[in-house]
Amino acid sequence: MSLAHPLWLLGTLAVLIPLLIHLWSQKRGKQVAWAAMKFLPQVDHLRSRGWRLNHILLLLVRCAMIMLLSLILTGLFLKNPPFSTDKKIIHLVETDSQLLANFAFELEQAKTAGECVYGIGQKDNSFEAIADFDKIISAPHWISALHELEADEVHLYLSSTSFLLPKQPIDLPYPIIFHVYDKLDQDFVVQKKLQLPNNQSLFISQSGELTLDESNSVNAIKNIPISKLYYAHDFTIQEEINTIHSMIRSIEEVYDLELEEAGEGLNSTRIKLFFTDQQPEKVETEVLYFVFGHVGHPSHPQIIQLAERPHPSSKWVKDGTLPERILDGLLQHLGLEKQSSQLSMAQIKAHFNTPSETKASNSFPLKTFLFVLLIIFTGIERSMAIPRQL
Amino acid sequence: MTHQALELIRLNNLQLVAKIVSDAMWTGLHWGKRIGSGTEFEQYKHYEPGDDPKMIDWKLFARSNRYQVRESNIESHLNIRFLVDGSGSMNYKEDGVSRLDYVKILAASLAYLGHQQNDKMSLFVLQNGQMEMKVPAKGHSFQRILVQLESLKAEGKWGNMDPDLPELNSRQKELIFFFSDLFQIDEEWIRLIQSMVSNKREIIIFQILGDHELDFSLKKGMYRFEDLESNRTVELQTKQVATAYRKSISHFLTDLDRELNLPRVRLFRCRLSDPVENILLAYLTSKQKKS
Repeated sequence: MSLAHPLWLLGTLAVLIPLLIHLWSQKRGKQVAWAAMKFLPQVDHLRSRGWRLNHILLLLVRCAMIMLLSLILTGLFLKNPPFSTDKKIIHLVETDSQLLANFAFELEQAKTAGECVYGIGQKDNSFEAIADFDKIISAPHWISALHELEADEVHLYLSSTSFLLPKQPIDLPYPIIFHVYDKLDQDFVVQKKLQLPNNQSLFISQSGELTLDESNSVNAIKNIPISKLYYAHDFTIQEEINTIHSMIRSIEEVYDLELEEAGEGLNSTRIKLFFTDQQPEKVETEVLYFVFGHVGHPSHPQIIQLAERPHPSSKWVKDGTLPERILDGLLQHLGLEKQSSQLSMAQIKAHFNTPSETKASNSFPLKTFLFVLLIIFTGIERSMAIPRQL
Repeated sequence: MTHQALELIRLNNLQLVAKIVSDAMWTGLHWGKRIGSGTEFEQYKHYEPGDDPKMIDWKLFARSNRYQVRESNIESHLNIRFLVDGSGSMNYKEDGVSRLDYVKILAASLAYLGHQQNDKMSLFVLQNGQMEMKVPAKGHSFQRILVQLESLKAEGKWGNMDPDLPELNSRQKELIFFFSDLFQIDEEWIRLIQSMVSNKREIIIFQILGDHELDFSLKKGMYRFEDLESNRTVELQTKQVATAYRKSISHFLTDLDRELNLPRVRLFRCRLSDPVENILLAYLTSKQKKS
């Protein structure tokens, strides 16, 4: 943030306000020759006359306050510039028809504003109508082309499944504004799904959500048939037992999984899930252990450790995340994993080191300093003004 | 018809003004001639039963064998003193009328009335703690009073002291007209008036105040009040001080009324906006206080 920034200079014009007020208050009152002086209240003789020193000091403090305020406000505006003055902005667009359709408006806007729009990848005639690129950068060379771009700001349009991202994070001299399009892969195939006994299936969709398919219509590469799951627990406190039961019931209701308590306890051979608060001495095959109230790395892949106890006062019970945590472990045990290739905005950003972020973190203490200074000046101003009733 | 003080000041002729004011005042009042014995001859009339036989001019009877009574205007033996406050506060001006101008017209009008009944008149100016005799009680005092009034300038202050004023020690029967604003630092005016009180003396005080002084009816805003008697200035917002001012001035006025509730002392309070003849009329028609 340069001190000569036009916005700040504009802000400093506000210094005129206290100056004008000062001059106005210096203005002499209407002159009246008066005889009945005795009856005029004897108030503030201090403010009677002239450019007193303390008046000028107060004026300076007030001017400084305005300058600081305008500095701080300018800083705020510069972070989100209200208007781009003569910045050179380049739009880099992955040539993908869905992406182009999604950002057609933005690109049209950019074109009307006279900004450069470069395509990355093979030119495809199908979307030529949407955006007429100024230049096409071929996909293999675009990373090196990035370094050569002379721009103040680059807008990068990528799809979330983009193959264009660099392997290593690269340093760039200009800030990048990312526009990520969450592209749905048409070729997406469900890898695994759980075949539920009642002709339903449970799988993880492309967007990473656990989905219940009632008509059993989705094809999957691997079907895992699943029957009724028996579970047992060794809790003795009634409240904790209730929590376990209600948690099981909620999983049942939402995802149609059939879970049933095995009456016989741990000795039953049918049980698949076991809820306990102690580390199991012996791990049975095909049994998944949920150990409550333990922290640390589990000693066996069939043991899932949970930090909180299933008591109603526990944090997870309160915020309702306990069934989710149990279900996560259960699905993983059953072989249903997230397989999304979608990249989030943060993941894409992590591939680029841009100056905007480092700059923001650097200017933070300066801003705090200015703010503290403003508070100090306000204090000084008040302490000077209040005793004199100015 | 009443006359605003400003119109009269514009005439710039105190004699004329005094006549106008007095004449206007007498409109509708009957001005009966007071005939009696005196040194100055006025007329003869036939003796009628009831007339004092002492009044018969025997020399004329010897010449003409007729009983004639010699008449003359009654001579007043009233000694009138005009005491004018000449301190700087008398220069207070409102709507073009200064307090001193108003006093000049009022005093001149009273002097005119006194002149018409041949009263002895003298003029004193109170200035800087001294009472200066401007016009002694001799002949042609009316003209001399007018001349002195015209050239009178108010300046300085009366000061918070009680000067010894030998002029006021006379034992003669007299009427004192005292013109002032009665603004005092302590109670110097009150003490002066109290010291003047005597059996033989009637004191009429005209306290002349401006509308702004009485009501503080200045427009809103910042004013710089400059003391007329010193260099002191006070800058104030009228809004801030109006209530306090009104309170203290009304307190002062009630105090004054109480303090000056003395035998043979009458206080007339007038505004600069009041027509002068109204004040005169108020004085002349008011009842003399029983001592």
